[in-house]
Amino acid sequence: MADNCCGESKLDFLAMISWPFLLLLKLTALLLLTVDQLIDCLRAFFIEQARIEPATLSNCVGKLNFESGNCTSRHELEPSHRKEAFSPTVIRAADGVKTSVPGRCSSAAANDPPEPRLRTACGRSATAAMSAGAGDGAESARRSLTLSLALAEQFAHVDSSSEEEAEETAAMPVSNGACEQGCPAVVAGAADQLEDQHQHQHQHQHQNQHQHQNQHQHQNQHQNQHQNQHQHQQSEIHQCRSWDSGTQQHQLARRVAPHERLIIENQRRKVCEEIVETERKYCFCLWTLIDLIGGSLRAAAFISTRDLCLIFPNTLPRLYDIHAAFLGSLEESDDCSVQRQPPLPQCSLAQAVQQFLQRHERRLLQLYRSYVAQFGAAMRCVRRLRRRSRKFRDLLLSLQRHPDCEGLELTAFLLTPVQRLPRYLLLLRQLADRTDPRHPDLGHLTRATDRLRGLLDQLNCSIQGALAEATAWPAGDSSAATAAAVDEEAAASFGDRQQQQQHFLLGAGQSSRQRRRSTQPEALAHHPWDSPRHLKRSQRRVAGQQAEQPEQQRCRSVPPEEASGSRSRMVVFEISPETARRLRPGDRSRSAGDVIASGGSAIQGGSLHQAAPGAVATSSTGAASPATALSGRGGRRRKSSPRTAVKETFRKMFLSRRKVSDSRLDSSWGDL
Amino acid sequence: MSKSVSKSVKPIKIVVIGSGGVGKSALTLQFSKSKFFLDYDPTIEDSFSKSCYIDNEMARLDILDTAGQEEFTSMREQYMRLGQAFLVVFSVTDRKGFEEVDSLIQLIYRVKDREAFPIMVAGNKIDLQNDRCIDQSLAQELVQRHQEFNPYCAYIETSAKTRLNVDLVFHDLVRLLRLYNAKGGSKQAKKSKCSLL
Repeated sequence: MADNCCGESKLDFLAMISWPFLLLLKLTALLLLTVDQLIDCLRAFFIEQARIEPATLSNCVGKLNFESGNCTSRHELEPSHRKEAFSPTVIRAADGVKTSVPGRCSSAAANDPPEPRLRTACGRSATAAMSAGAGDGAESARRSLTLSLALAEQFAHVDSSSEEEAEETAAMPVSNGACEQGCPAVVAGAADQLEDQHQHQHQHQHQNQHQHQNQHQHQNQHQNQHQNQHQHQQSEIHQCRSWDSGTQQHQLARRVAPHERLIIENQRRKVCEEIVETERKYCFCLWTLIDLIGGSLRAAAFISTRDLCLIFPNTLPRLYDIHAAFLGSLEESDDCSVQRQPPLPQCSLAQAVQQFLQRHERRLLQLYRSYVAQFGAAMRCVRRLRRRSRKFRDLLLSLQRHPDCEGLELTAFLLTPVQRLPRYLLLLRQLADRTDPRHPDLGHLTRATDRLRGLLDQLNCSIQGALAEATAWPAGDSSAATAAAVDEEAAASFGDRQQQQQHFLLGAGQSSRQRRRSTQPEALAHHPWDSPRHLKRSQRRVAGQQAEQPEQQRCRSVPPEEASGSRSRMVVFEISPETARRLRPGDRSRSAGDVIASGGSAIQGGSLHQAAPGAVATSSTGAASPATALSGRGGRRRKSSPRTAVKETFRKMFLSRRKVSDSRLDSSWGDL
Repeated sequence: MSKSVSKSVKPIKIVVIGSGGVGKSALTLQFSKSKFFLDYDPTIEDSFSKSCYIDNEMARLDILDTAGQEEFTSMREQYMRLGQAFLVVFSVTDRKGFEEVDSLIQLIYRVKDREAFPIMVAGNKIDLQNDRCIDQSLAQELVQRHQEFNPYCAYIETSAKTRLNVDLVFHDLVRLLRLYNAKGGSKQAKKSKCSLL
């Protein structure tokens, strides 16, 4: 009895002592198993990932989930898992492991360590291969099954149970593959399975085998493992993707022959690279313009601040900022980055472009509108400075020789922002042409193109408004004085409104009269190639177009001289500062003396404006034709004495002609 | 000697138009600098100048390349107004570009306010025979339709890549312009001046 007791207590004691060790052993074994399975799972995931991009997958999540009704094992997963962004892949990988687990469990229970270890190793490698091959459809799954079976046979202790196990695990991915055949997008992605990837799989299997040999077998808790694996997979997704980002180009449909597909893929990659490369170049151009050219021109004392403001508007740095940010997002996108930083959620290049356009549409429109509106004036300003100042010419020449400028001159740099947005359209079109119709990027591309087109249309409209204004205003750039006047206008538009208001109100005195006298003859100058008759007609056409334009634009394009006569200018200003802001300084040059003298008519004009701006606009555009300012003025004076007005008109025309012929020789291409 | 000659010769303003990506810049660059850039966006210069002898007569060509501004239709009229002769380029691999040719020519007439004007239509990229979707006969037909009232209109196929007909297209344009100036064109202009003064 005592012995018995003693024996029992001894047993108890032993059990007590050995309990923590056993637990420790259990835990270690569990941990090892978990880690091992995780690695296995991840490998499967890698291979999957190489073939199917997450975007493709997330796009067809719904379809897959619907289709996956056939795969019973998937039902066992918790719904929360399915909601994850990469769920199909993860689910499938998890499925692969899951089905492998029961088999192994049973074999582990039935047999002693060494044999089942090998067997399970073979079985598991088969599982890994299967789950890897799941994306490739039934055929490739079968192929990888034979591969794994061949591997299994290399081991001496292969018995029937391990074969059964392998086949059992194979059944799942095959059905998985069958499911996927119902989902074209996945098949499209999966169709890109290449021979070298098979070799990849093969290698992985070998690695797996070696690892499995060092593995300890123990009982396991499926559910825990699955959850663990799932979480780990989620956290390691970025690792997988950075591991094999190079092969993500294989995205095209099965129908395309392999040799052609490679060509198209190459072309597509080139277009992607081109988008990024041109963006980088554009940013560099902007930066050179702002920093190098702007800096050195600012440093030069002989250029007035007004000219500087005109050539380097404050939209430039903002444009640079926005495009630099865009370049950053492009470089991070899937299609071009070589080495990505892990934790960022990735998107394709098309998606990046689309998001950029969507987010910054208004800002882009605003910036480019402002830039394009003043672009012509900036070009004229540069030409004028170049013509007049030797120092300026020398400075430009020295800048042109700077390595950063690559031999391009200032005007070329100024032109780049104008050309950038249309270029996006061309590039996107190129990319769309080389994208498979079933590719999810195509949706992004069409949306981006539509948005861009809308943006360009709006921009085009605003240019049209600005140009109509510019043509209504004598468009000759060869006449320096006209250019000055126009430049002045643009410069003023950047100025403070307050200041302008003062200018308007105080602009009465002697100075404005003088300015008027000085600018009037030149204001009649035409472009050297424009025959007067031609100018006349084209402007009449412009006037006709204006009549069709919407209210807003019509108001903009009203040549102020005729809009209401200078008399109502002040009144117009009072009515809406917005409108008045658009008016040119040339109007300012109208003496306020006139305004005061004919206060009555001013009010009349004002009230007319207030009552029916459209009517005024149309009537004024009607008068906006022959040599614009000319007839306007003539018309106005004709009231007092028509003959003198006509005489004066022609005298001015001769004057301007002579002036033009002087400057004609060195005038370069017209203002665009 | 040649310098003085080239200076004395009045430059001929040629405007190259066409929809985006048809090879306007490529044509212009190939002609003026004998270069072909495979990459897009090789240059941002907007005008080139080149002097050459055409039919034993010196000509100085100022070529305005409007590349990159195709979407800004409102700017078209601006530069069209400046041109004395036009090169309308389309790509034989791009149907959309070809469909725009007609409207572009119409626009030239409208802006220039003439029934006839020296216009050269160039079907570019004929080295890409495999992708070709615009037949030569189709383009010829279009030009013949215009030739009914505009005798100074012609069609030619070019390839900026292989430099096929690149010089010819510009030279022919200058010939057309000379013909035009010799016949009706200048007369009209003179008349208009007289009527005004």
